[in-house]
This record gives sequence, structure tokens and C-alpha cells, in this order.
Amino acid sequence: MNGQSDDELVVGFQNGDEGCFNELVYRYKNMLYQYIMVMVRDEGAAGDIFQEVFLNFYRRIHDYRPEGKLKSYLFTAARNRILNYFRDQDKLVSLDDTDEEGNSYWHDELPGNDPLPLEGLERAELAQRIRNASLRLPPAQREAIYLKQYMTFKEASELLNRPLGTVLADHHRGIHKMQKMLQDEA
Amino acid sequence: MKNECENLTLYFYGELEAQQAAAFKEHLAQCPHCQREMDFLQQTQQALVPPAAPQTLVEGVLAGASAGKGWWRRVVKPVLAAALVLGAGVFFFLTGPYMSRFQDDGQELVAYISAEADEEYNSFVADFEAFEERF
Repeated sequence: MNGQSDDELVVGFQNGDEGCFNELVYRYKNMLYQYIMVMVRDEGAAGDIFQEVFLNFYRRIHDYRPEGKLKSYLFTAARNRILNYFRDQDKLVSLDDTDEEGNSYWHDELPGNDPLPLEGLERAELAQRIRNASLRLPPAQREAIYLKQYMTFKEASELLNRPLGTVLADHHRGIHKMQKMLQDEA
Repeated sequence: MKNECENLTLYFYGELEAQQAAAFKEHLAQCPHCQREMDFLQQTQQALVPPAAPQTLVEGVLAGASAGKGWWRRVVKPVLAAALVLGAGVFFFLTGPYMSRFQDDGQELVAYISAEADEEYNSFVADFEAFEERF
């Protein structure tokens, strides 16, 4: 794991070190892809947005001023493209759809093919049910819960341009709704 | 007691001030509701750990960046540089006479450009009218 800060890597890249860009991609790829995927719920569109975010960052690297906000920059870029995707596709209705089931993306992510011990299986099953429930949340709650996986509430509040209390409330409501879904399934 | 429960989420994520965190820790030891909530937050956090992004996408980004860079450096930059030099040469060649006229009489140049623009505009209007008449 490279111990350099985001800004150090950006400066390194601005000075011609391509390896610094690759390191930034590897640093943010998983969380960005997960965020985009859970918001658009379409593998093809998520892949396009994911690549656009990084390639646009690559093209504009010399305009970027390293001020310790790279994560916000990348997530804001992803969020803007997600919004454009729904505007272009006129899919605002499906964005608000709360009845959709979880999709195959998650089913590919259970680690390895080895048989898991019973306790591991139960944990994996619970994790899967939590992920499926999260995908059925309204967008604002889903977004608050996933963004919280990658950043502080303050950062999420700035990114979403919404009061911190609102983001906390969305997170809280989402968690309770997921608990309710799991209870109803049992 | 209810107010203490409201601090659960911020406590779980380590985003409470030290004093509030200490107070909540004491509350947590006596509140079964908050203990259950803490368990669920823990399970949720573990369940939503980002899985690896598809490697093909990552390779696509790295290849796209590399290709973009090669294309820019090898082709676009030299072509742009050559076009700029050529464009500057053509500009000075064509505008040289006008520039000297401008030095003599700026107003004449303005009138010249305006007349040329008017000519173009009139020609466009005539074409447009012909088009309208035809269709």
C-alpha cells in the first residue's frame, strides 16, 4: 500500500509520474464503482460512468489544485454523471422505485469458491440480505448509507450540499427501514 | 435517556466529541436498544464493504489514459503546434496590407470589414429568399 497522500500522488502525476495516477485509480476504484453501481443499478451504465470519471480526471489533472479534496472531487464527478444519466434516460421514476430486487452484481462478490463454515455461511447470508435490502431503499437513504461507508457525515453533507442533520436523518431512516425489511423477511 | 440514544450513529462512526462519546459509552452499557442498534450498524458496515471493481473496467481506465496520453503527445500536440505556426503565418500574410491600412486609417479598415460583412449578409439573405420562394 502506497503511503503517499492523495495530494502527493496528484502532484507526482502532474509532474509526469504515470504510476501516481494508477495508484489513485487503485485507491478509489472499489468505493467509486460500488457507489455508482448502487445508485444506477445497471452494470453497463455504471461501467461507463466509472471510466468517464477517471478518464476525465486524467485529462484535467493539470487544472486540479491539490487541496486535500480529491475524494470529494471524484465522488462529485460521479454524482453529476449519475444525475445526468437519469436525466438523459428519463429514469427519475425508476430512481424512486423502492420495489426492485437486488441484482447479480452482489452475488458475484462472495469470497472464493471454498465451502464456508456454517457460521460463515450465516454471516454471508445475512450480509447478502442487508445488501439486497439496501438496494430497495429510496435513493436519498441509500446514498447516505453508502456514502457513509467512504467518508464522514460532514464530508457527505458537503458533497450532497445538504445539512448534516438531514444526511444523518436519511442514514438513520435507511438503517431502520433495512431492519424492518429483514424482520419482515424472517 | 432518549437524547443519549440519538447519539448512537455518530458514536458508532467515531464522530462524537470526546466528552459526548464518554457519556454515550456509559449510556450504551445500560441500553439494550442501543446495543442492538450497534450490532446492526456493525453488520451493515461489514456487509457494505466495497467489493473489488471489475478488473476489465480498471484496465480500461488505465489503457484509455495511456492511449489518450500517447495520442495527445504524439499526434494532437505537434499538429496543433504546426497549425498555430501556419495559421499565424497566413494571418500576417493576409492581414499585412490591411494592417498597414489600419495604421494609416483605422476607420477605413472598420468600414472595409463592415462592408464585407454586409456583403456576406446580403448574399445570405438573397440565398435564403430564393430558398423560400422555391419551397
